[in-house]
Amino acid sequence: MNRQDIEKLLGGYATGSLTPDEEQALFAAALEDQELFDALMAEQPLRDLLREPTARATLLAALSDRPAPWYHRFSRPLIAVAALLLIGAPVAIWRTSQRPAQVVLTAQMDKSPKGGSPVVEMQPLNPPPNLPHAVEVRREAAATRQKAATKAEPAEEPFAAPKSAAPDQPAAPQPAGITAPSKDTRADALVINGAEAQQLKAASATETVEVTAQDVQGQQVKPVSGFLPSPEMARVKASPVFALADRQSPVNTTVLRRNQEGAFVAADPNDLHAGDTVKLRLESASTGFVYIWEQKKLLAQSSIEAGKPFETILDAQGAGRRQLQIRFSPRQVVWNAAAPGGVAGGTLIDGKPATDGPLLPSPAITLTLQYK
Amino acid sequence: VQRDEVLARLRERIVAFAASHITRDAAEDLAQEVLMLLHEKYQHLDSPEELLPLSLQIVRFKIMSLRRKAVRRGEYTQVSVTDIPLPDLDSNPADRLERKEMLERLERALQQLGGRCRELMRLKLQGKNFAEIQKVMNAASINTVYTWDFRCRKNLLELMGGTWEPKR
Repeated sequence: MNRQDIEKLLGGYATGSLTPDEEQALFAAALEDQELFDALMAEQPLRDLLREPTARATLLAALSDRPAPWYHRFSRPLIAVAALLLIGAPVAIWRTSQRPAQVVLTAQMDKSPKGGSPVVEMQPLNPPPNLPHAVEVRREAAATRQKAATKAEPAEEPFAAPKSAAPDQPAAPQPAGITAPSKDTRADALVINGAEAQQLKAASATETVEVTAQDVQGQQVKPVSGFLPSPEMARVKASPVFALADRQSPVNTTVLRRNQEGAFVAADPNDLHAGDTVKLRLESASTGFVYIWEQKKLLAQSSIEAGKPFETILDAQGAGRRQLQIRFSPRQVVWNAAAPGGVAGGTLIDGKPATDGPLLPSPAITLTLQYK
Repeated sequence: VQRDEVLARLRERIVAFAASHITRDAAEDLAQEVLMLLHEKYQHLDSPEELLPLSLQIVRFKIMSLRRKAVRRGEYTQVSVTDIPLPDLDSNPADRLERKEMLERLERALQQLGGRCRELMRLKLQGKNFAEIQKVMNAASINTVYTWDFRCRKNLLELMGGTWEPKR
């Protein structure tokens, strides 16, 4: 063995792993070589330690433990991230699903310019960008009125409604019956008459719609000194509500009649008896509000949850025909019950309904009850 | 090699080694005491394989004793031959503490070794010699095992800071 080979035996000295021949070679070389002797001397503490059975057992136990794999270094951060995802993701999903409906329209009681009966003003708010059915209505009346007042002549189409669009969706062709807006916008509002509302209802939820201010008969509203006359203004302001309502009228109506045992059973609305106690059961596929009125009298109103029926008992009625109107609205509509023949949607003007014919668009459901 | 020749070479090596740690005179005295001990108590040993490990152990303990006494008393006191209880490792609390500390350092260092070195050390601690380790680890030759062991020992020593014993 040469010097290098002898040095390789040093590791076996402390652990006692050398064979007699190896020991002999190592020690003989150490007696002749001071460096090797010093190296052996340096190994002596380890040799002394390893001669103790307990120390040897301790080290063997330490070596028997499998070393932690390299990926165990990331185990703690990974566990933390996984725990965060496990807890955070369901919470985030739950919070997303539980997000309260954002207000698209608000009703604001306002005095009419003439100081008459209060007018309920429906004012759209900025809708959330991801609300598919949102109708974006930006109101800039004050600014535009002031602007209009400075002009010598009002524009032919003084009331232009802004775009009503679902964001992130390309614009679709304009539906028939809805005209393009005037560039000279006096007030931003959404006016949809009955026919237009039906078209809007049939249109895609992501459709881009541009409408101008029109009255319910489809006529252009003429400004007075640059301002919209009060009745028309009220109609204009009220219209977004009904546009929304018409787009979503998913109400199923069931007529129930109390039988002799006192239980309510389904009945044919055309085959009721005078004096029958009749109950209406309304079911909606969407959560919102339902309104039941007869002529212009509000009979019942309630919030309704999707899939949960709302029931109301109608007053007993003598022989005759009774026509109820039922409307579903995703938003609550202000009903001024104090006004004569209270009308939904703030269509009272100077204490009177805005028109003889309902300013309201055609009701989603007309239910005729025939008492015999 | 005759016993006297072995002892003569041992003395030479011990003096050279001890002189690098203590004074030359003390180193001469230390070597003399070691040889006297070998002569008086281990007269039946005559081969280098027996005498050399024993002398290494005696030298180590004598140097440790010298250092402790010098520190404790602040003076150099020659170590009597009769003060060396071989190989009583549990002689005093200082030794036990030192060994305990060394054992802990060694344990930590072993756990930082790579897989092959850990396996090699495990087999060595189990009492296997290099030839047996070669078979267990399927090494091509025993020189391969020597090389592995050399590198592993070097690695282990580096992990322990360059010395087996705690630095003072």
